[in-house]
Amino acid sequence: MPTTDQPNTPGENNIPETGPAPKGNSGAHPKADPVAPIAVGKPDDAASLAIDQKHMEAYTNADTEPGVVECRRPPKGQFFTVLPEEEGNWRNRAYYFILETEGRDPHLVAHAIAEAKKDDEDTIRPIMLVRYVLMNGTEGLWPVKLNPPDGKANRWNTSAMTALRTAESGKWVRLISKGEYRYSVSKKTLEETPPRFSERRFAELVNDAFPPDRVIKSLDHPIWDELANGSTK
Amino acid sequence: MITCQRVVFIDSEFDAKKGRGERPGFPHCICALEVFPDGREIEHRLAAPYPERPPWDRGDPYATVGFALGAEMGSMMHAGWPLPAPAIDLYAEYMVLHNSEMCRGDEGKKPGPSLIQACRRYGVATMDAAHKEEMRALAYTKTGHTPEEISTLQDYCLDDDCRATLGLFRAMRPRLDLLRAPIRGAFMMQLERMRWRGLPIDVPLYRRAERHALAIAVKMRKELNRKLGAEIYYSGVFKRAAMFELMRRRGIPIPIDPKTGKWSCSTRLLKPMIETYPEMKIFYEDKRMLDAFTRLGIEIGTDGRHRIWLNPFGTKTGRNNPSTKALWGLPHTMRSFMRVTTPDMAIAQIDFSSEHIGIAAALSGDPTLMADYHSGDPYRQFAAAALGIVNPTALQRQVYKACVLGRIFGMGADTLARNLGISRSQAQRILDQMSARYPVLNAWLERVLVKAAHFVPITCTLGWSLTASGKPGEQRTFLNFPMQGNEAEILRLVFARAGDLPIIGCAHDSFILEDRADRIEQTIQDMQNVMRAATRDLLGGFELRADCKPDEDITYYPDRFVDKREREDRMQHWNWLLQLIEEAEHEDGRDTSERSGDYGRAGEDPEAAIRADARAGIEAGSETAQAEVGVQGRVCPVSDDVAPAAAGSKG
Repeated sequence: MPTTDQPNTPGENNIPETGPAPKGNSGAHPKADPVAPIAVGKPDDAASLAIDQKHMEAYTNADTEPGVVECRRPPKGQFFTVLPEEEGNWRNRAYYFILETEGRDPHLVAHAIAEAKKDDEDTIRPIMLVRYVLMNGTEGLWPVKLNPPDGKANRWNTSAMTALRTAESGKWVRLISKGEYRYSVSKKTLEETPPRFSERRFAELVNDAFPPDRVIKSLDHPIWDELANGSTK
Repeated sequence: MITCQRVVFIDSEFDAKKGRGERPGFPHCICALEVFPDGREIEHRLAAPYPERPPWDRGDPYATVGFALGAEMGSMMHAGWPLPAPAIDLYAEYMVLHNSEMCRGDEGKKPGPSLIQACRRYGVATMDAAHKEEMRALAYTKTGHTPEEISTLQDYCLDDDCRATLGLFRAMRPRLDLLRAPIRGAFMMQLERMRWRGLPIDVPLYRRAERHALAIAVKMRKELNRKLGAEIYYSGVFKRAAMFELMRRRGIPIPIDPKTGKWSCSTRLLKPMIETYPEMKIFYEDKRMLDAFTRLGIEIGTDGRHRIWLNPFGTKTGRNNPSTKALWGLPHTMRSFMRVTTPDMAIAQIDFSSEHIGIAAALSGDPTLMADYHSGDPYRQFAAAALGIVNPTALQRQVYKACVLGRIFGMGADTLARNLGISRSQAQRILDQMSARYPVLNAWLERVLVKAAHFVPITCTLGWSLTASGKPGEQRTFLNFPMQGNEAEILRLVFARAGDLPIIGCAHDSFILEDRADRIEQTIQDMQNVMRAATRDLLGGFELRADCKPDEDITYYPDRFVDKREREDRMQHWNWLLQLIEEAEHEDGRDTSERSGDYGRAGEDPEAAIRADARAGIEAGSETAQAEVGVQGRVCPVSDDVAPAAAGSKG
């Protein structure tokens, strides 16, 4: 038996209706958006409702940036590629003068200093630094040596340029040293294995590869004294 | 997606019978506020006898909205109404939206809000707390309300609670995830159905243990001192200094609590060491038993079934966080207080196998880990590959298992070395082997950390999320958050889809079902299908295993439930526990000569007939049946399963 003054049987006929103004002391939002209708999901549709956990990649770059960027040719046994460049508008390569001596890390030499020293030091040579990336995402700078302008081409330099051009045409390339740089091209395309170049700018890589003490901007740099008089280090 | 033209805000008044292990009381009233697109409202004020179906259920889709819908589910079950779908529980949605905020304090996660607190958080005016208490008192303290009292309760139920829920819904709506909210709503109601059914307990035996709990604890302390050869308990007080000294003497590394930076011998930190140091295993298991006995008090209803609020969304990872009074929160040995008490019935346990590893494999997309998981034993695969052998030993497998689990829980080389009793360099080598074998997993875990470090929410598959707070030591939380958080999402989806499957209990990765013995295997199969489908749907098609070994995981009347670990230990602890009960009774002057051996199998049950009636009550949901078959307070002179003191262990 009903214990209240409201009927319990289903149906609208015997159910009191009220206007939109709520009774009681809460919920009064006369100008609020309507409560109904609402569109809701179903547990059966969970597969389509599941939030893709790959969303993390949009936010983060899991590859840690190495503290040191190596300036050397891509390691043998590893596939690498480079970015193609628009002629006259290079973004990921540039010409530099480099000073290379036995047992020392290479130094970058400012253009004016290289000009001033070119007759005294045969250790300074022009190179093209090219940004490359290995398949595992490691980035580096490849100092590609340039043939001298006198027309005497060097097989190593020429073959390195050939490998570079192959890589920039959109291929994964591996260097093989056999009297010259030979190379093999991976069957994996860039679409299958996209190169993971970092967001860092080329200049940042160069700065990381050559910290301030390895950039020669003056004739007072200690390297000149070491080259002239030797060092006990 | 379902478009609902009507939204029904529902509430009911009843005696919740909190803390007593009982089903909620029969509802004094069920009220609802039905809202239409044009703003028109219909008020429903119902009281017993309730109609066969809710008056707002007219066949067309409508959404049910409530706050802590589990409570309303109890009232609806009493009324014989089906589970409403779709349903949105604003308590669950509040927990989803405010998880990070609730975790920012220094004292763990704050408890979930009451309706009044949630309304205040959203600036919704509500009834005052004193009025609510007055109404609760009216609902809780008596039965046989007068028509005037019922009317008063209906006014409160409709004008205060239903309208407060409506106001809260309006305020929360811009932030609500209406696509996924119904999954959580269904989960909350199914959780209440589970609680309604309850876990069957061997009440006579449990009451004996409870009666002598203090005496048993004294004996346990003495025995633990003897086993360890040190007085780590002195005058009933645990002495940490003595424990540290013992560990130093035995060359056992002392863990450092990452939160305090100080030495600690908490069982939480010692647990990963128990497979390496036998003394730590003794300490860990006995200490947990001892702690459990000093606060023994699981809630058992008059029908002999254990029911407890599981505190859904109670942890930062979204997992349930029941109190220590839950049977499933006690040491695994004590789960054997659960017993099939009704003839022709059976209980089955189904669990997700290596769930965290499976989730890590699926979410990271690591092909090697996925293959290792599918092999059936990922730890064995890893050990075999790392060691270059075909058949790693159990110990080798254990080492590599500790490494895999440790890595996804943020363990470093130092901790791994301590837990395994190996050098740091050996531990580092194993971790390096893991990084080499599972590079995709490794990169994915790093990404999770990097994202968390940006204070960006880490969001699980159904929307549960956590944002870093900047507190020290959070890294570990975020390393395992995707695993634990998605484990909880899977659990919720399983519940939401469980329908009428008779779930009576759950842990984070397992379910207990009770059904007639002649159909338990079919029920297990149905449940496994639900579990597997849930993982496929949330893990991008990757299916986790849902295991149930008939010989071990099904318990038939009149046997008692035995946890896998207890079985592996040949029930040593259970038999020791029974021995302690018997000794305590003996010292208390009771006659224990009638006890017979127990190795997880009980003999004739003297109360079988009563329990059969209890089962009828459980199925029918009749409060009358509960009252008739109450066993609490009955003196049960014969319990048939206390092992003789000399029995020791089986096998």
